[in-house]
Formats: sequence, C-alpha cells, structure tokens
Amino acid sequence: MEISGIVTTFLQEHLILPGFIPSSDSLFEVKFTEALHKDLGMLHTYFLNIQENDAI
Amino acid sequence: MTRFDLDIINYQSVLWITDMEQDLDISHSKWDFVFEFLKQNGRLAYFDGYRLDHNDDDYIKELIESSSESVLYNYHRVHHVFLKLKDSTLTNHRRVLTELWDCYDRPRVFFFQEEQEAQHIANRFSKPSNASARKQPIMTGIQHGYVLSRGMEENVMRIDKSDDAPPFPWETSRSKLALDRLANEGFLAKLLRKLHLSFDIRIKRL
Repeated sequence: MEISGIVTTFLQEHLILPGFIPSSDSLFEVKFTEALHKDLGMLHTYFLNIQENDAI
Repeated sequence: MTRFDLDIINYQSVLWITDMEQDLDISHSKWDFVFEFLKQNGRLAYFDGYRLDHNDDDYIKELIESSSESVLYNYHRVHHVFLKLKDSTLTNHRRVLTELWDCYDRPRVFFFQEEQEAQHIANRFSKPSNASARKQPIMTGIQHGYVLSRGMEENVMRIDKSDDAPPFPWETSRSKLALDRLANEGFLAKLLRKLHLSFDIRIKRL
C-alpha cells in the first residue's frame, strides 16, 4: 500500500538506513533524536485531527 | 501562563490541551486561563449534554436548575439538553458545571457573543434529523463562537473556534512528557493502522 506523504516525509527525515521503497511492507527503523521528538509532535497533531474527524 | 504540565497543540482553529497529570476536570483552577479567555470573547455560555450517562433524573434536574437560566432544547427526559448557563456557573460554581458535564457521554460548552448563534444550534438539534445534525462540522453556520469539549482521550480538552472568532492566544507548546510518551507507547503503530498502512516503524535509541 502506498505510504501517505506525511509518513514518507517523516521516514525520509529520520530513517537510520536511508533509501526505502515507499510501498513495501518492511520494518523501518528511525533514530531517536530531539528532531524526531519534534516531528512526532507534528505527526501526533495530524493523528488527532483525523481521529477526531472520523469519530464525529 | 500556568505552572501545570499541559501539552498544548494549536492547529487550524482547533486547540487540544492535554493535562499530563490527571483526567480532565474543568473545575480545577488550572483551567482558569481557558475560561477567562472564552468568557472575554464569548460572553454567553451554553451547555450541550448529549447521551445521558446517569440514571438519577432528580439529581440531573437539580444540577440543570442550579446551573442554567433557561433550557433551549430538551430531548427525551434530558437525554440531550442544551442550556443557557448562568454567569455565576462559570465564575463561582464551576464544580456544578463539572458535575453536569460528568453526567453526559458527550458534553460541550459553547461560548457566543450573540444569542442568535445559540438559537441556531438549538434549531439544528430540534430538526428531525438531529443525529445527522451532530455530524456536521461543529461550527457550521456560526459566525463568532467557541466550543469546548473533551478530546478522544480522558485527559484532553478540545476547543474549536469559528472562522471569525479571535484566534487562541496560545501557541503549540509540547510537554516533554507527552513527546516521550509518543516515542514509547506505540503511537506510530496506532497512526499507521489509522492510515491503513501495513508496515511498522521502530524508534531506536542509539
């Protein structure tokens, strides 16, 4: 299944081994850094928005 | 603004504030700054209680009587109510509002500048298609208003605003504890499931 843009951007930014196939079923590993902390916050905001819109 | 550990997200006319210390209790003084802002920018307050989750009718009627000055909508013996709140309920007796809030599965408090906005909401509830009316975006047809509700999690306050209402004065400010929890508690797996993606992302501390 195609990976959504926001997740692709996140992976490109933080992947430990750069370069991946955007439609694979793999396990991706990302490095824990301060920047990852911040981007997790951004993903969380996105998640809250879709989760609550679906729940209405 | 506050000495309490609150995780604040301000995103496209919606504000989510997570209390990192306890479940949401709107009577706690930590929420005074929110109510002060909402009262300044929406002088009239209304309670919307949907899906009654309490079986003592007398108790609920007592709460309604002590907290509100009028009932704009009442469906099926207070199963769904829309009330105009007394000024004192927000200023001195937020505990009563909390008790009322806790009686409903989906409680909300609206803040408007004009009475007609509240009437618009009450009319929407009164239509035979009440259920679908609740599915409309919350601020449909509202010029200047805010609505405070509980988020998907028990410790999250959500506030929506209409397009013309003044913006929230608080920027996104993430709690370190909240971000740590995102990294440690399987949040990415939940997000991927929500997006119907079949792979996994693991965070590695190197």
